[in-house]
Amino acid sequence: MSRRGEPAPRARRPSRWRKEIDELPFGLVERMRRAQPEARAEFFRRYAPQVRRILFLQGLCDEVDDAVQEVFIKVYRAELPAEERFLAWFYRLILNTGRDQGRRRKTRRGLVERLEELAPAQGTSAGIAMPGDPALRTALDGLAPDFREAVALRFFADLSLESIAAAQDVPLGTVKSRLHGAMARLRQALTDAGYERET
Amino acid sequence: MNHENETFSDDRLLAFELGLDDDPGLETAVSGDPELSRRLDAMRADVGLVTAGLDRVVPTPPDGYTDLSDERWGELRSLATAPTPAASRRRSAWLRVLAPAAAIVLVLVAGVVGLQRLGDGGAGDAMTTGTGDKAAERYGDGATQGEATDGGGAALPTLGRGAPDPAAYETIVVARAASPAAGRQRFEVLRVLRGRAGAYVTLKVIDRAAAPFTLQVLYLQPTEERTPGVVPSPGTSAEGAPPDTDTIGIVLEFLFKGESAVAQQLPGGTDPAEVTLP
Repeated sequence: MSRRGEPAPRARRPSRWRKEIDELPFGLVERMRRAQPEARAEFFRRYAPQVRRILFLQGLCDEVDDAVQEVFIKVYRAELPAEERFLAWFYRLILNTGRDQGRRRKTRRGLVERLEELAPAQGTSAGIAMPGDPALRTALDGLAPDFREAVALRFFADLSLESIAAAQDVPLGTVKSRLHGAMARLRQALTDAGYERET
Repeated sequence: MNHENETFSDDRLLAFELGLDDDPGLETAVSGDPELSRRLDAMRADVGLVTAGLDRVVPTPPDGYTDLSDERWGELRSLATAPTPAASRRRSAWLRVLAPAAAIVLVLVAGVVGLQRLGDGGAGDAMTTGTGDKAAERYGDGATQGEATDGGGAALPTLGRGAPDPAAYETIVVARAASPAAGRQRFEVLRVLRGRAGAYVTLKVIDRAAAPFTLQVLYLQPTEERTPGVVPSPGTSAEGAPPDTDTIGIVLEFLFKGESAVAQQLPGGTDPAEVTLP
């Protein structure tokens, strides 16, 4: 399918973003570029939950919803890049917003405390709390911010390694190193807490 | 969970399970090594435990989180929701049909009135001149009322001579005017038509502020030194005044970062999303 005689965008998509971009409804970016409210609302509904989780793991707490709102306002007011570059731009925008907000946030509570606040919801939407969860929270809190960002992009946004590298603006090897280091720490935390897998 | 040997360390198994590295050697070895296969299964289970744990300790937001009518999304709502999209489309369709007809009727009425006044021997000259001045003040020379008041249209009202030339400005935004204070007026940026702008723009009032709560197109950062052709409006300052339909199309001059800036009022009910540069 072509628009105004242009080659079909899907044919031009680089492979490393294929999975993520293919999950974007076709034409959504173009409709947002035309400032269509329905397109903006659809984009918000689709991405706001994962944006919130990424920002939360970046260290935001009370102000996380303000930051989510700021991310989408920036998207709506920006000159959007071409579709094949859009998601890299979008996730970089999320990370930068989280870093900026984190620098000027008023409350300095630790991640463990904030994650524990979410615990009451665990019995409903996120499953039943497990014995290893406190250790996992502590381990998450101990991770360097760049490592937490990589974890968030990998497991909350389900991004490919290449896409994480583009979003974090680092080489692929750095992403692998961060993810490996983070997961090793988290796994070790569960081990140290005496939390055994069921095998 | 700690099982390592020199060839297949836990780190290597973890990298494989996380999909960080293709590892044909490991895949081959697993098929002929029950112990290695058991360790890989254990590593897979560990990764599963950690990812499930992440889902629990950073849960997804509750249902209804993305409901834009929620109070927390107050700032987003105006950008991501149309007042009534279906109604807006219907209105636009009707305007497309009715606007030309209305323009024809106006021309006919004006012609009839003009002929009547000619027949009256010039008795209405003063009134006619006054009306003409008013029209020039509101819409600029050469503009029609239909163009200026068509809120459902997709282009800016055409102001003719005295109107800002979009090509002469680096930044053009659609913004809502707040009440002026201390010689300054803040505008909430609703849409960026050209260039970059933050959420708010504050302008220094030169002669007259824009009516509060009105939609304005702001022309900021002139590309070259120039004095915009402003159509100054007579009368008192609009500070604190309610929105005035008589000011639609008026071009007001401000200062923005020491440079000349211009505001042009849009008709009430204009959807910022539909405003485009001519």
